[in-house]
Amino acid sequence: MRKLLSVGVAAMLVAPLACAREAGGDPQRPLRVQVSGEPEETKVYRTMVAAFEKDNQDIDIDLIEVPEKDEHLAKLTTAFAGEDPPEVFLVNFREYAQFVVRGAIEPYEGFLEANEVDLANYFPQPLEAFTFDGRLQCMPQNISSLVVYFNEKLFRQAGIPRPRAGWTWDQFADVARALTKGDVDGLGIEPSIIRLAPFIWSNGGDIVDDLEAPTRFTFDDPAAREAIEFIVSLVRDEGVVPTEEEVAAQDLETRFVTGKLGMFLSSRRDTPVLREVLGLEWDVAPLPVAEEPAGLLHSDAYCLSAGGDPDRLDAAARFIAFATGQQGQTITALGGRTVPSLKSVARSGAFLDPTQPPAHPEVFLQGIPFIRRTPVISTWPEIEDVAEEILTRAFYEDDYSVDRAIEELEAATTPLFEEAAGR
Amino acid sequence: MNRTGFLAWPFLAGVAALVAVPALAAATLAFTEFSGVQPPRFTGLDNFSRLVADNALWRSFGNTVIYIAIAVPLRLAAAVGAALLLNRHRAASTAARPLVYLPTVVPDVAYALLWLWLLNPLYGPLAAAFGFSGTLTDPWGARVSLAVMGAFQIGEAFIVALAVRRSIPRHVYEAAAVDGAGPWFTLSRLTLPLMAPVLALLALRDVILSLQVNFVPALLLTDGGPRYATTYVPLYVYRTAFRYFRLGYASTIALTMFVITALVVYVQYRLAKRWRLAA
Repeated sequence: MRKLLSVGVAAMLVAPLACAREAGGDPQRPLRVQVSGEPEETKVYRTMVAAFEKDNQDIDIDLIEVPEKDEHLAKLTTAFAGEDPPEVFLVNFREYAQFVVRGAIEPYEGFLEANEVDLANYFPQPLEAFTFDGRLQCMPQNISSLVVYFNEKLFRQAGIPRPRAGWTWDQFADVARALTKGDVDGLGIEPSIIRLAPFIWSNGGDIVDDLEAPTRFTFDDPAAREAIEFIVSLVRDEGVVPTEEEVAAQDLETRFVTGKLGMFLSSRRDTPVLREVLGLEWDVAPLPVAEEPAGLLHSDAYCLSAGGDPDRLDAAARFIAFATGQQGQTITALGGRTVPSLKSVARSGAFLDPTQPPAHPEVFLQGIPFIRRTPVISTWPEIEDVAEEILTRAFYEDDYSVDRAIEELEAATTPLFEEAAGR
Repeated sequence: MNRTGFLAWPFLAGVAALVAVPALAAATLAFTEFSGVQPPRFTGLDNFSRLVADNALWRSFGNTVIYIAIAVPLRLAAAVGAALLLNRHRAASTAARPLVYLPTVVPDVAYALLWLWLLNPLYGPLAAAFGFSGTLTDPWGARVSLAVMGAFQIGEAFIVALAVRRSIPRHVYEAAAVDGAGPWFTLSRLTLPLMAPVLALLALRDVILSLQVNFVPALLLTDGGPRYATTYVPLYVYRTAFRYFRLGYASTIALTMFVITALVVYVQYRLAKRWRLAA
């Protein structure tokens, strides 16, 4: 009896594991594609998947939508740990390196020819960003840059004309001041590396000592320090940016939507949400310029999970070719979520749709030649998280100087740069 | 094996499958470098060396200790206070008892979202009524807020405290009354000492509980901030494992915290035992 019970218990323990492996290897199982974003953003992926399934009756797609980026990454980690990852997942270029160095990604480069993908038709910046160890790892779907979203009604009421390309930092600060009245703040900007970087580059500075093999931040460089001080002064001295309490009470996007914010900096990802807001008059403008125009690359790509069944990998690669091809990118562009990485779609009516806000979508394209990127290293997400905490103090604490922030940033992040160098 | 032992098997099998085996696996992973993607690589005690020098971890541990120091007395006082207040057989007490238990059955995420609204620095009712604007943006405001939030989920401790209070014979109070004992004397010299053994057990249980229950509010309300003030050990482990792909190191932290918790509980148990013997 005791032996029988032991066998039963052992069977109970092993059965779930066996089932997991069985399910993962089932050739008839739909391909899983995991994406993250707000419902307004992921709506376009549903449309695109439906179009793919219509054209490819032999392939079923199970679209996994995850609202938050952190949850998206956590779900991927557990899926890889359980040896049952989705065949395809969408990830930002700032976060994919940690998957590559751990062997989680099957380089897409090996599938280009079979799927007749001609890289010459794509903007080079995201392709370069998703190239690691000399190979194209994932296939980028978009190439957004940071822009200034602005409330046209508030601009009109303050008698401010729409910002033109090449507007200066002084003009930028003047506009923020002019918009700040009552419960309206002129500018919304988060204390993060990805918001500060374009200002540092525009001022002739740099964020790291070596983009390909960074060992430290270079915020102690005068040009970088001046850019940080400029933004911090807008927050602390000018008072044109919402306070920490105001942002905790209502995030920047919500403040913008409710007419409490004149401008805020973001990539294309806010467009689908803003389009849904009735009565909101808004448009986009390029970032202000100090010495030279500069923008930050925002790009997501479809990656193939490594180690899967070859037939399923081929099918997944076909899906990626569709999603990043003419038809797939047209659908996502029409939804407003992406600035297409495929040049022909970016210059088509699907993206430059005059009937849909923003009225000047070409702003996203005009910034492409000046787009730069952050380093592609495995510890970058952690570096960004650490930097955000320190920059938050620099933004909102009067007795926390920029110098101290720069010192603490260096101390806190240098070990992480070293860890990435050791892979 | 007797019949009672046989009936325990399904439960024991469940515990083995869902608790013991994963815990054993996690303990094994503590000695490896494991990202979740590649197979674990044995690294001996490397993770433990790293842990000693990990300032962020010890800051999280400090935050956890602060949380326990605020939350456990609060929760215990609330549970015992409610039990003493609602002990009598009156209609109002009978109606109020389920209300005390109610927050405990609310799902953690819903409860956290409710408090996110209550604690909203500008638009929440607490800010409107009392002018508390730093509840989520000031480090100590956030620490206290999360502890206070937990002080309403005391259902089980309340039931236990109520049962213990009810078990004290009525004649003990009648004798005290005859001797002229006032309410404060009765509470401090009679009720609480008689409840003390169970209160010590409740405190012990609450310390263990407090090491775990802060994960959801810290994730949803404050995201570990402001200034890492509410980054408790469970949240730190979660981020280390699932955001930064260090499942091996996260297991090391979890194992170390398990040992530390066991030690703390053992010391607490010994102290309580000595106190009971002295009493």
